[in-house]
Amino acid sequence: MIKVELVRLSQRYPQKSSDAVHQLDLVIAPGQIAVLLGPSGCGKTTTLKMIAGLLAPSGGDILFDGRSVLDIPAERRSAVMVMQKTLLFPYMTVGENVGFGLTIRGVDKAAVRRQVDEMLARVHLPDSARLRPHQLSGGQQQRVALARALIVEPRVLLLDEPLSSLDAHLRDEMRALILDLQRQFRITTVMVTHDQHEAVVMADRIALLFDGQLRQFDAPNAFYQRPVDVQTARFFGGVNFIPGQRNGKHIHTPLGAFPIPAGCCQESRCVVTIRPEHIAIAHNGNGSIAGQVISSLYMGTHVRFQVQVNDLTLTVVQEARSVEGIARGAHLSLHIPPDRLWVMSPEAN
Amino acid sequence: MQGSIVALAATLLSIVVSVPAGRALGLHQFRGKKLVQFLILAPTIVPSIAVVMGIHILFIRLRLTGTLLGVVLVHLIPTTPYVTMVMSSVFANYDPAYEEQARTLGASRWRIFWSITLPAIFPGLMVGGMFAFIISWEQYLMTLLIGSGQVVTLPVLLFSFANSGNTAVMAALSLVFVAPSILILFLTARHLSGESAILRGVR
Repeated sequence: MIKVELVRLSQRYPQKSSDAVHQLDLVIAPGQIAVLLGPSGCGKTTTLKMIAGLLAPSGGDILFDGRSVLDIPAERRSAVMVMQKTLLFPYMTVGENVGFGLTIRGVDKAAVRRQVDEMLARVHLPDSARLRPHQLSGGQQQRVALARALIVEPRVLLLDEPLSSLDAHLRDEMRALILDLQRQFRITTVMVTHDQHEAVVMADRIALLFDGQLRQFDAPNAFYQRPVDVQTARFFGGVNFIPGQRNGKHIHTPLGAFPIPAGCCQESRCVVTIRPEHIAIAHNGNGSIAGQVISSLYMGTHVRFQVQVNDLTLTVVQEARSVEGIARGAHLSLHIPPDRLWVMSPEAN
Repeated sequence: MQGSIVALAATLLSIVVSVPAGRALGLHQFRGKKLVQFLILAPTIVPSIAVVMGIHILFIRLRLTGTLLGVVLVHLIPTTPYVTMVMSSVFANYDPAYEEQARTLGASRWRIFWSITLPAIFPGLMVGGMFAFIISWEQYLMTLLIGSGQVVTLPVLLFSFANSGNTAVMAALSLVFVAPSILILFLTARHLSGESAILRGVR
């Protein structure tokens, strides 16, 4: 288990004036899964390639257990990548693919075969050593790719959107498998994804990147409870942004005055946000805010309401079983729990 | 026979030259690429006699005339364009991501070439090599001028018998002449029609 540190890591786009990755500072504790999350093109895969040694950074440093690895080429860095395309070598059998890392290190054939069989069993693909990659399904190929990576006991495991090409039900299985294996092997893991649900399920900590810059590096729940700004909150599905004016320890909004939680922004003009699932519908009319339902969207387990409150439209999400019978036009009484509010600086533009 | 030695040597050398050239042309963009492509293909446009006259003088000075090495070198001129063209289209369909994957698993550059690249480009190598062999095997003018009568390959022999009017020997030699080409075509036919998995993609 090693500690991975990125120190002011930068990568410049060739022939462009902006950076693909700009001054990235990140410390990943030993044995942790850190997920690099962000919209497409924000520099996540570039960062992963720099950690692997496939791309030289244009600035900054990468440390494994406190030692810089920039002068160590990719083939000796022991940072194995598993990519979105499984890239199983087509001229080898599954067994030869998985054993590739061991074979090139000179491990004898019998030992390779034994370890390959063991590893294939761990990824739930026993007896597949003699098959060829094209004979396997997408999900099976990903498992082989994982086995191939883990068998060499890398210091760092780098996963580049490994689940994007899989069907939804396979994704859950693979997620569980990756988490399981990662815990067993205790390898420091860096994973890249653009899907925030995946990030939240898999990560010990999430690094949110926009345009090559780190916005927030925190445990998953912090992005829901304490997002650092409006763009971050939006990325994680926050939709209720209410402008407010700060007055001492309270913030005054069109919905009333609320105490400001500790650690929030210090400016006079702020934005108050509350998650749609935290706004409560008061059934016997003793909520503090009156509104009218403009639309309702049934999502299976939940219902998503758009509620008009004076000039504001609030989005409220509730479990479907508790809101049966509430339709468009209904008058609701809402309650906003003050401990669920979060206050941020206003959006830049 | 000298002809086969020359053809084999020319084939091997043109492959050694063309694989890196083909890789550069197939996988990378760089300034002056179009010029380089034109220069590499130029020997197919310019007739060999124009080229050989000039080279002859140079080779006399370098004392390469009348030697096997000289003939092999001059055969590289007509063969390399074809092999490079084939290899460059092979590499254009090649995915270098496999090499990156192998690198992170700990493979050295030589190991990557041997285990990953070579199996993928092998059919192209066969086709290119076949072109090179046949082109070298059939060369008359270049062999005659640079070989100065001391390097005798089959076409040279054939034409000297044709001049002397000995039709029987000429007919027999003609059969020997086309035999390797037919044999090679036969042996590499499956590589011509098949496609490698890396070029097509695994799924």
